[in-house]
Amino acid sequence: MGANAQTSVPAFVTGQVLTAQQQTEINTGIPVFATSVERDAAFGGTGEKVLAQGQYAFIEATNTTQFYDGSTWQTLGGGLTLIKAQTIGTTVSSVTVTGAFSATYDTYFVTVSGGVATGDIALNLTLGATATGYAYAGNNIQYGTATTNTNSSANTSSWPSVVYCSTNALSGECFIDNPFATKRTMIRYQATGTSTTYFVNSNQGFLNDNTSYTAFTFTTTSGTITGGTIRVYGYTNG
Amino acid sequence: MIYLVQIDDLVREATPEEAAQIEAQQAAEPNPVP
Repeated sequence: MGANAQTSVPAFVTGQVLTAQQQTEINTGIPVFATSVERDAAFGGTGEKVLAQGQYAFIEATNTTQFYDGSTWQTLGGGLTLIKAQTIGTTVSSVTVTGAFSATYDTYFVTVSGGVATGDIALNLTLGATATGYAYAGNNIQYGTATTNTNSSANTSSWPSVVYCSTNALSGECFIDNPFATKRTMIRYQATGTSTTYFVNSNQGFLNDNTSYTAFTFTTTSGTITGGTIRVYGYTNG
Repeated sequence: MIYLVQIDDLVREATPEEAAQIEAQQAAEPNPVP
């Protein structure tokens, strides 16, 4: 049994004098620290608990809850954090999501689901105000006919068809690497058509600049979209 | 053509510059799906 293991959850009566051991046992809330530096300094000193397996901590700088496994601190949450959920408005031609990227994460997962469009259209993706330098390659395949189109560009104005849309739904997902860092941004994406005459696709690419981005925009290839949700998740760097 | 643009929760009519950008991108990036 480790130093943080308890054999009971004590209750006390009015006027009872508590022992040091009892005070330690009830000190089971998750302590909050500004950074991991303050966390490491808070244990093992005079009058402080000895760091031991089962100890929890919350770190403000990274918004993470951690536990000590006996040799190192582990982060809870499975490594994927929802950063933003943006509901799409009514009959819009473009949707900009701000505050999506930051120094906290290197890699992001973006999903688009629900909603409807005015017809079989696609959503193109741009970062910030950049309208050049998008490279991509991939293919799409039509339901039923299996007609396959190979698509690519070394320099175009957006990443095209990151989301496919119909009067039934919007559907697409992408992984984005390093959008906030001042280096090339990479993307891998798939879109799923939701009408029987439409397509599915799979593409990869990168943005050929070293700009730091915090926002992205989906723009329709024609027509408009209504409803649905854009969700942005960050992968914990660890 | 009137375009509606959305920035986070705010939906509004596109400015002439934004409308021009939308039209330019739609013209430059026609839907690659036949």
